[in-house]
Amino acid sequence: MWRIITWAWRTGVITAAPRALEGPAPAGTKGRPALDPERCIGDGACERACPTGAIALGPVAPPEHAAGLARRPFRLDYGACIFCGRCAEACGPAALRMTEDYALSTRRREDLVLRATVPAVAGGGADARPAPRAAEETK
Amino acid sequence: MTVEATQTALTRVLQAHGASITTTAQEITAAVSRSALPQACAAMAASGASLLTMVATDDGADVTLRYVFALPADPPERRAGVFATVACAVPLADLEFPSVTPLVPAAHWYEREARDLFGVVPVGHPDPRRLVLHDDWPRGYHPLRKSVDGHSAPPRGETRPFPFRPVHGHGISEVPVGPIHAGIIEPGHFRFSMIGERVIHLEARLFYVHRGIEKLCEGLPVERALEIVERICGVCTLSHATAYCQAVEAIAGTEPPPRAVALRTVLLELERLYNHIGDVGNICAGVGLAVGTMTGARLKDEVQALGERLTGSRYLRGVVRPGGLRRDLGAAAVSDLRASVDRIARTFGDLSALLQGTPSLMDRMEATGVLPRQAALDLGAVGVTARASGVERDMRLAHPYAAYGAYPPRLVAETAGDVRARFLVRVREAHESARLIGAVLADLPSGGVWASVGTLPDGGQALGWTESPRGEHVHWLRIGGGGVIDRLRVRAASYCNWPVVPLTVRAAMLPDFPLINKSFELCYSCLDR
Amino acid sequence: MSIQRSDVGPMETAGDEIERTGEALRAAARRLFRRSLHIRQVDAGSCNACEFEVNTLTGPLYDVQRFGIDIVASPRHADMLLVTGPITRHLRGALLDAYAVMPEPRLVAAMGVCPIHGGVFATSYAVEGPLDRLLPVDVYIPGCPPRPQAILHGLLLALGRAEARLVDGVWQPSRSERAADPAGTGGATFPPQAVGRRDVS
Repeated sequence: MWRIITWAWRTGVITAAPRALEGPAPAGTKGRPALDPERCIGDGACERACPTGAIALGPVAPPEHAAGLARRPFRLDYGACIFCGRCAEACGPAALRMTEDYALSTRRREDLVLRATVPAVAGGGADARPAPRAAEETK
Repeated sequence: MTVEATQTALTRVLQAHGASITTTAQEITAAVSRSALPQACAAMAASGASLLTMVATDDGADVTLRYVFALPADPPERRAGVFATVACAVPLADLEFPSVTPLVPAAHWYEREARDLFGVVPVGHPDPRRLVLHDDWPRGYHPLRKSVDGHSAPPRGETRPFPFRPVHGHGISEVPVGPIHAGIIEPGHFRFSMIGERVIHLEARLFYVHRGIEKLCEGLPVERALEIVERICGVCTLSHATAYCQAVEAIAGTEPPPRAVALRTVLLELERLYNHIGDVGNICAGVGLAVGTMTGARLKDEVQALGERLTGSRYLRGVVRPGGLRRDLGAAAVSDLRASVDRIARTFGDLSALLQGTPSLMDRMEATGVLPRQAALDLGAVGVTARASGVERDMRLAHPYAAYGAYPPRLVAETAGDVRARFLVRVREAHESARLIGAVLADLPSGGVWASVGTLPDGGQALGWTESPRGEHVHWLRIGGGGVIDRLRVRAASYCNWPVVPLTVRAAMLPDFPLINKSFELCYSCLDR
Repeated sequence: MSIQRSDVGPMETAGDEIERTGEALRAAARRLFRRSLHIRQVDAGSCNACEFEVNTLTGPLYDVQRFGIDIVASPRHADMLLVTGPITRHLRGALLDAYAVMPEPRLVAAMGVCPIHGGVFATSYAVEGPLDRLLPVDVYIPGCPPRPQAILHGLLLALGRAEARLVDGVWQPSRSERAADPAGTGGATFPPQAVGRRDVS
C-alpha cells in the first residue's frame, strides 16, 4: 500500500488544463474535409470515392451567360462522413482537403450538411475510378 | 515434423476418406461426400491439426462447407502457413449434413452460424438453437444466400423467447444480465443460474452487435470494402485490415514492398501494445484498484496519441491497404515512435512490478476463472486465452506473416489458466511488443510503401491471418466476376474464445464475473460482425 | 457506386406548437443539467472505438468528471442517453427500453457516424437506424470515432456551455479566433507529445 501511495505521489497530476483540451489536434489527424469551391472542377471523383455516400453532386446547370461556367450543386453530409480521407485523395485539383478540425457537433441535423455550388468544368469521365495517389508521409 | 512431412501425412489421411485432393500454394483441399465429412474432420483433428475456421459459401446449386485446419509447423520450419481444408457440398434440394461437432467440438458455433445464415442443417448437433439471428427473424430467412438482398430488412416475425437452459432445483435463482451492461461496454446477455452468490451455470447470448458485415462486403471492390473491414472492431482495426489485405495480396500473388511489410509489423505490435496495457488496466478495474486502472488508461492513451501522430487515427485506421500502406513514416516520425515506445514500456514495467507486488490484487486473480488446458484445446481457444492455459498457439510463430519470419516474437505462455495467468501473459507480451518494435525499426528497409496488386482473378480465393491482441483473426476471401468480393468470411479470435468463458465461472462468486470477463477482454463486435 | 440517402431531418412532429414546446423543454433541460450531467452510455451495435473514446474521457488525462459530467450505471439515474452504433435490429428493443425508463427531462446524444447516419453499415439488413428515426436527438457528435475532445465539445454543446462550429455545414471561426486572441495553448496541439510529468522509473 505504501508503494502505491508513493507511486501516486511521484506521478503527480497529469490531468490536462481545460484550455489545453481546446487545443488543435496534431497535424495530419483526419478531421473535417474542407471544400474550396474555387478549385473544384465538379468531376465527382470525391462522390465516387466516398464509402458512405456522404458526398453528392447534382445535375449540371448550364452557365448563366456565354462566358460563365457551368455549375452543379455540391452536398457534403458531415453526419455521414467517416473521415477516411478518400475524397481528398481522389481530388485532382485538391479542392477537398482534410483539416484537423474535430469540434463538429451540432444540435440540428441540418447543420451537419454543407451545400455549395461548384464549377462543372471537367470533361466528365463519370465512369472512371479515381486513381489513388501515392502514399503520404508523416514527417 | 517438417511442413512437407505434415502435408504428406495429412494427404494420406484425407485420401483414406475417399477425398479428391487439390493443392494450391496455401491449401490442400479435400472434397469429401457428406457421409465422410465427420470422420475426415475427426481424422484431421486426431493428427494434431487444429480447426482454424469454417466457411460456408452459396455456390449456386449447393452450399459448400469448408472446414479449414491449420497444420502445426515445428520451429525452425517457420514458413508461411499451409492449411488443409475438408470441403463438402450440401445440395440446396436437401440441406442436411451430418454435424462434425460431436467429434470435433470446436466446430460447434460454425455449424450453428451456417444454419442461421445459409439454411444448412447440421444433423446431430448437440445445440440446435439459433446463434447469429435472434428469434424474431422470419423462419426461412437466410441472409447470406445469394438470392437474398442484403440491403433490405425482412419484417419482424413473432418473437419467441430464447430457450435458455437454466439449472433447476431448490434454492436456485436465475439472474439475467444485459444486453445493456452497467459500464461503457458492448452489449451481450448473460443468464446465470445461482445458489446464493455462487454461479452454478452461465449461458451467454450474443450477436447483439450483428451488423451484417460479411453480406455488406459482397459485390464491393476490394479497396472499397476496406473501410468496412476496419470497422469490424475498433481495437482490432489494424489486425483485421492487415489480415484482409494479406488475403487480397495472396490472391493477387503480390507482396508489398519490404518497408511496408516492416512498418505493418511495427504498427501491428503498436496495436498489441495499447490493447495489452489497457487490458491490464481493465483487470485492475475489475477489482477496484484505481491506481492500476488509471495508470493503464493513461499509458494506453499515450500509445493511441502516438498512433494518431503517426497515422492520423487513434485506432490506426486508414493506414493499411492492399499492396502495402497508405502513408509512410519519415525519420522524425520513426524516432518519435522509438522514443515514445521506450518511455511507455519503461513506465509500464514499473506499473506491472507495482501490481505484482500488491498482494490483494494477486490474491483476487489467483485461482479465479480457471480455464483447464484440455477445455482450451477441445474448444479451439486462441490467443492470450489459450496461451495462459498452456496451449502454445501463436500465428506469428506457427504461420509467420508480415515480418515475423525474420523477427519472431518469444512465445509467452503460462499454465495456470486463471486470471493471474492471463494478466501475466499480457504483461510479458507487452514488453515483447516493445522489444519487437525496436528490433524492426533498427533495421527498417528503405524504399516505397505500396505496390499495386493489379487485377484480381475471378474465382481467386485465399486466407489472410494475423495474431491480434486477442488471438488469431482469419479472413477467407473469394473474388467473383469483375474483381469484386464474392465472399468474405471473418473469423475473429473472440469467435473461438467466447464459448470457453462460461466454463470458467463455475463455482465462482457472481462478483468475480466482471473480473473474469475482463481477464478475457473479448470483443463482442469482432464476434458478432 | 454511391448510396443515395434521402435528406434526413429530426423526428417528425405533429405541429409547430409541439415543436416549440419541445424546444422549450429541451432548453430547460439544458439549463438544469448545465453543471451536472449524468450520462448512460448505450452501445447499439458500435465497433467499440466510440466506447473506448468515452472511456478515455473518464480517464486521468481528460477527467470529464471535473466538468460535472459523469457516467451512471442505470438509465433510471441518467439525464442523457449517449448512443453509439448504427442501431442493430437486435439491440433496438433494449435501447428503446432504456430511453423509456429515463426520468424526464432527458437528453439524447448521437455519437459517431453510426447513429447519425449509419456510416458504412447504413444499408445493411441488420441495421435499423439512424437514431433520430427512433428517438429525439439533442446533439449530434460526428466522427469515426470522434476524438475525446470532440465528444467533450459535443457534451458541452448539449449543455449550452460551448458553441457549435458548424452552421449549415459551414465552419465558423471560434470565439478566440474572432477576437484574434491565441487559444492560450501557445499553438500546442493536444494531446501533447510528452507532458512534463514525473514518471516513476
